[in-house]
Amino acid sequence: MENTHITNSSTGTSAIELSGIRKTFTLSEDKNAQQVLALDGIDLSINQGEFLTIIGPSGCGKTTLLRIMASLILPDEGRVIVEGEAVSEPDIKRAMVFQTFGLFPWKTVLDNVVFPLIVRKYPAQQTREIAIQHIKQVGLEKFQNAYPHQLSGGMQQRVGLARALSTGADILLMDEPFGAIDAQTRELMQEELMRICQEEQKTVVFITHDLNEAVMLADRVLLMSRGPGQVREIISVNLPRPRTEYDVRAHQEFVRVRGHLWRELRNDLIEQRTEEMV
Amino acid sequence: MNLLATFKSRRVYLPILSLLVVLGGWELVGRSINPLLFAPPSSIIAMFGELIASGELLAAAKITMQALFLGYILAVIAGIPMGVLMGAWPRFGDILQPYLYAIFSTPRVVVVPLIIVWFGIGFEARLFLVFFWTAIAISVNTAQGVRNARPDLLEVARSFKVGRYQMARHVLIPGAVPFVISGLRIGAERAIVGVIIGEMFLQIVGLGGIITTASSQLLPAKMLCAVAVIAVLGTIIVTTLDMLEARFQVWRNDSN
Repeated sequence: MENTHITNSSTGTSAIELSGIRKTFTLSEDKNAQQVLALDGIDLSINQGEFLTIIGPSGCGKTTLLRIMASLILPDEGRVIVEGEAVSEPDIKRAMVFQTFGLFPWKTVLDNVVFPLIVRKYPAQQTREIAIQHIKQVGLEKFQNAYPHQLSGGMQQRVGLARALSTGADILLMDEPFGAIDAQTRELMQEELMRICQEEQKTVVFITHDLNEAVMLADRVLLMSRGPGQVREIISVNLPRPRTEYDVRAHQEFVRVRGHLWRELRNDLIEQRTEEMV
Repeated sequence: MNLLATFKSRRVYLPILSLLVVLGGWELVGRSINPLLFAPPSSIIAMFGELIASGELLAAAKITMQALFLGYILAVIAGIPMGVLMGAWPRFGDILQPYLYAIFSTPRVVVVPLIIVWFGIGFEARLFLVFFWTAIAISVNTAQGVRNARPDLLEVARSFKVGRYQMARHVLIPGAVPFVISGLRIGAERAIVGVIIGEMFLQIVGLGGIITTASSQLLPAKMLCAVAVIAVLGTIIVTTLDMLEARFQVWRNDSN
């Protein structure tokens, strides 16, 4: 029974591998405008079936990094390798879940979840069945025909999750998915996400600015620093799963990791502040 | 009892009262003025009966509606896809924009001579007067709606790797619906004005033709009958658009 937490070292290829990722942004359209280095020299390997959370001060490039993993933007330098293949465009192996849900307000819950499948031109009956199955999985079967504005934020994000799951992607890329959801609903959704990801063996990259959430969900937490965005530290969370069956927050491993991350984050914030004051 | 309660509501009795006062005043003033210059409601109603009985009004309305509705429908068919192209492909829109804006803001009366040269004075000319300006109104508004597509939803669609056609069908066009409908409204106004200009300044036919001939024959009652029918046509179009809007926007906040 010792160490029931998942170690994902068994599989050969990584789900996502980043090497030497560098990204600069220009502040305005003017070619001579100031360049801002958003990400510099990111190397990272994410195991299959791993739950990786990314945390860091605002402006550290977390979202940019995630969008690079999704191939929504391309890095200036470096490579993104997904399940062994270099990628430069979105594909069916990866699905995004967005902070602002990104639901089409003119589509019902069912049509929103079906959307990524219609695009792939599966037969209509099959796409409907797949969609309904995932709507059930997130507990919204009674709301199939509702429009997004009729749902609470938590329910809307369940739709967002069902949509990502319906693609059948092995990798979920989640950009602060629960950031806009009230605290109690968030805890419920964290539990559900852990359950679903464990059942379906998903690889998850999950951005958050909530330390508790980062530690609670993760196999590993990636701490980023800013100016430019770099990997400051990657720390393993050796908490047994399923984590819904005991009080994770009272576990000494949780307290240890959370305490360590907070000290690091705090130092980073204080350094930043003194730099700004000088 | 219920009827009385309805009548007591300010929103009902005020407009009715206002109508009675205005029509009464109009009748009084109209009777005291030379009938060659002005007509009271009573003589307009009498004239209306006469025009219906002789079939003149219906025949004219039919001519007007043919050019109006055919031109409008063609404008919708051409204007919406054009607008989608202009919006989805901004460079194309930018190239066309100066011409469309210039044409759109030119009073149509000044191009009447050109239209006569191109299309003659008959049905085709009226159809063009309706179609062209209405199509511009619809396409410019549709393009604006497409350009205003929510960037977050475009990114969602991109993350699922949708193609151009799917992007237009599932993201751009539904998102542009409120703009398309306001284009349809502006277009309806343009269409009615267009058909009447054609009937008053080209071949003298239809409801516009009745206005022109009646005013030269000093028959103000007949003129006002045609005006009333035109107003009714306009109201029908606007009401239809309202219904269309309600139908297409079930997904909008129904809480308010």
